[in-house]
Amino acid sequence: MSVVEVPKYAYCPEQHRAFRLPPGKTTIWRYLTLPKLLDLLDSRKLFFCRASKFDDPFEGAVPKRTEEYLRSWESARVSEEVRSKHRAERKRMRSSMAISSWHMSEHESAAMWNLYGLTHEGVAIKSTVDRLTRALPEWPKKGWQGPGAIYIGKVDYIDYSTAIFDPSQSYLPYVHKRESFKHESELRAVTLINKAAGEAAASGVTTEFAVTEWGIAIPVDVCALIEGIYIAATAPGWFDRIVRASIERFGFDPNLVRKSAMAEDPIY
Amino acid sequence: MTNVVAAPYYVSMSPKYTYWANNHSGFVLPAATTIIWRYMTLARFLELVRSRRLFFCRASKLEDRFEGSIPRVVNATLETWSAQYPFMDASDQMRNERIKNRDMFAINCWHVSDYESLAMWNQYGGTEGVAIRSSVERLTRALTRRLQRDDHLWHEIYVGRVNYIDYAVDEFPRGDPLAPFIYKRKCYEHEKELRAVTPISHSAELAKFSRWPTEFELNDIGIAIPVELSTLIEAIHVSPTAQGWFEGLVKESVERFGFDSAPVVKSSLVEEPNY
Repeated sequence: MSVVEVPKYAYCPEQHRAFRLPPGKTTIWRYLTLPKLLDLLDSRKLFFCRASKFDDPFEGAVPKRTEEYLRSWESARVSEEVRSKHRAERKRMRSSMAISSWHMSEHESAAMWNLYGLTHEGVAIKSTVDRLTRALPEWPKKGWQGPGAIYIGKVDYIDYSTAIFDPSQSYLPYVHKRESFKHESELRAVTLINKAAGEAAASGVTTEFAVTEWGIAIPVDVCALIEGIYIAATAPGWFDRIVRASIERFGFDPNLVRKSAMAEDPIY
Repeated sequence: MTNVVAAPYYVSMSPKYTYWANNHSGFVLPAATTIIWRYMTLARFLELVRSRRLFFCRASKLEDRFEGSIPRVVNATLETWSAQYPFMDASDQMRNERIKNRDMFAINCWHVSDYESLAMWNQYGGTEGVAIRSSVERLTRALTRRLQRDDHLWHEIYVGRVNYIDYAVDEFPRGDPLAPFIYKRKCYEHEKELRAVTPISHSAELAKFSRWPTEFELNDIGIAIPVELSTLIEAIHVSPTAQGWFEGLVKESVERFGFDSAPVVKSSLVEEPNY
């Protein structure tokens, strides 16, 4: 019987070149459905979705000029066979790169509620960059950027027809998106689901994380992470009640639920 | 010693709602063993489990503008009839009454089928949804109340299958204020709907207004009526498009809310096909 070594996932405080971490007190939001919130509270795990499962087909893609540059550089040195292998490798990377997305903003956003279809039964977690980094497992060793490292940084919105970036950096395609996504002003926590994690999950070894075809759920200190839970101002009264009741039944303080500033009455 | 004055007087002043077996015309109750389903989001389901009340939505808040309306033929007959009495303005009065009834009648909808329906999952359940499996007998029994001698204010809940008709040519029972709520247009036939319908009485509005303790909950959208959950729910089916974590969460939350009389089961639609 083969022994599977269980890998570890942890926030890497050593900044990776590809990631730009905003100041610690930057407010971040995650808009989600009630079941997803309850799952986070119950499992105490934050879900990182595989990039291949995102709607944007450009996740993991390199800009056109980068591709041209690559072609001109590589064609002189490596065969077409090797080049297509590299391309396939980059594409395969999409299903190992796992991402937890957050929205950076000081205020609640009406657009985010609408965008994710959460106007009726939606909640939002309010947190900060600092809270997110503290909530993730701590990296045991200093100065090591190895497998299992979780990096955090903001997404750069660029023009994919003109921009160029270092193609040898495998994380770069995952912190860049097209300009059309600028309104998302996204912050991402990114990690690579390594082969050992998949093997550990498949062989039934108990791990602190959970790997599925959709992504990986990584242990998180929920209390450190969540500053407040906001309910869509457009949600009906019963939804507010059931959110508070379920949070309480799952053993958390219902006072975590804050009244949305958007629910205030207008003065004419 | 302080005298504790019990509330029953006030309680009896606020109405009770109960299933009424003597059906109104138009309400045809299917066989007791008929299987019925209610598809909903997890949030709605948990609210049912928490409150132990079934929500009846005012007809005016339902999507179909034809709720509470009458077919063309019935309308023509009524117009001809009222034309004989021009001084009475009867047809307008009746029309206003029917429009008002859209706010006064509340409806709880179910889907009649022996099997799960993919269309219903898509429309009402979604990927993070559940479906309650019940039967006509379970629903009527769960809504039946043992009325006390001093319960002089109570209101009937009628249960029946929706009749799908052509509003341009077909007829339905005239002079029955409930009839407009048990007939729908043919374009809704695929919903194979069974409904429980009840009037939201004036006394219910009054009870809410005067803050008497009531068993139901009344708001702009409708009324939530007490229901016996263990009788009502035979099984809780999990959406076929849900990911693995969701089934676990449904089980966990049902348990956290202290409900254990019905099993949480996977959708039958996710079975592996044999080629």
